Amino acid sequence: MHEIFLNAEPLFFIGTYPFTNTLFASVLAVGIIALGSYVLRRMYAEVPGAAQGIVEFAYEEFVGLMDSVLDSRKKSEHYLPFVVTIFVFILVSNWLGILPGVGSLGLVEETGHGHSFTPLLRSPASDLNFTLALAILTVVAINVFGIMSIGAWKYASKFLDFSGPIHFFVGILEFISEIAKMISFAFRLFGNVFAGEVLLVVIAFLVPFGAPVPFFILELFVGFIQAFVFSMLALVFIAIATTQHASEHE
Amino acid sequence: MEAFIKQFGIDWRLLASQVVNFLLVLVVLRVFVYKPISVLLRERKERVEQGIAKAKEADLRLQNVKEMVRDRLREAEAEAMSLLGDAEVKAKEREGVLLESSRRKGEVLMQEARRTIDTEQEKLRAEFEREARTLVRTAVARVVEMDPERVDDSLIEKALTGVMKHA
Repeated sequence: MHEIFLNAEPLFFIGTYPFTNTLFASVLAVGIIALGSYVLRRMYAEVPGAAQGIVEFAYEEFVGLMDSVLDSRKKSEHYLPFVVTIFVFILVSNWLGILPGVGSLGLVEETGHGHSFTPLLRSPASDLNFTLALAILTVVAINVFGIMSIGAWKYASKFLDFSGPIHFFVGILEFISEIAKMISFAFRLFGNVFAGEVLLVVIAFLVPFGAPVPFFILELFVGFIQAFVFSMLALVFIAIATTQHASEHE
Repeated sequence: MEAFIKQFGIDWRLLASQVVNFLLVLVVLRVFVYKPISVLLRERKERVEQGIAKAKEADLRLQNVKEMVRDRLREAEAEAMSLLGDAEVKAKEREGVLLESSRRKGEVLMQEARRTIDTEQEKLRAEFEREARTLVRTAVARVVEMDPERVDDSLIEKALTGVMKHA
């Protein structure tokens, strides 16, 4: 069984910059999404084909779902690119990690203790750099959306409220909750995907033929669910951040 | 904290790279998917709404046309009824005129017939008189030629039968 590391393995270095296998997979995911989008763009027609029909259906469903949370079609269409991009990027990254060859194709290097194997590709979300980057970006974006929606001063009053000691304390809690959001976003996705990778490696090691298949299906499902959970949480936090609460009017 | 960062291999440059990757995906999807799809869907929705509006308009027009046709039919029916009434009245008038004319003609014919009958009767009467005169003359001549004693009842009877035949 090949060794499992928490951190992503560097494939090569550009100066001191480590180009890791998760970053490579992430770049590949970007490439796949870009190529797919470009091909889809060329296929757009008045009468939609199967692919366009699926995309239109997914778009309508997402807008409908966002309408039910944001309660406004205008807001839904405004925030849809961000939320859906999170979903698509995480989904493609997660499913990319289950493809045959990912984790099994790699570089073999001679070391003092023998051979070391470095997989060429690894699921991006099994690297905390990927999930933390998305988490930080999402929380920052949520706050930016909040400021753009209700104004900087009103939004800042959520964190800095000197009207009383309780409000001040609540403000501090709000600030801590933003950091907690980042951590929960990052570790939820990382934990699920990393655990899935470990599970697949262990099962493939114990029973190489047949037994991993149900776990691959499970990982497909987990990959989808995690992408959906991340994007839906982002949506809910956007909805909270962009809504003026009654107490703030008083 | 440093151990944690080292353990998980957190590197701000990798974080930045992943953020750039995400932003690339966002831009690509925005350009190639979200905008065109939203434009397509909006245009389709507008077309559908226009279609529905046009269908409603056509429906309204159809109703108006139906109403107009119904009105025209009602008018035509009323006109037909009025024409029929007029025709009936005219027919009755004509019938009266014709009846009157027929009656007059009938009367004329009756008068003519009566006149003809009278004439014929006159003629017959005249002929009868002439015949009767001839008969009587013949009878008188025979009576005169006969002997009164020889005139018997059978001859008288014969004479009378002859008169009756000529009558």
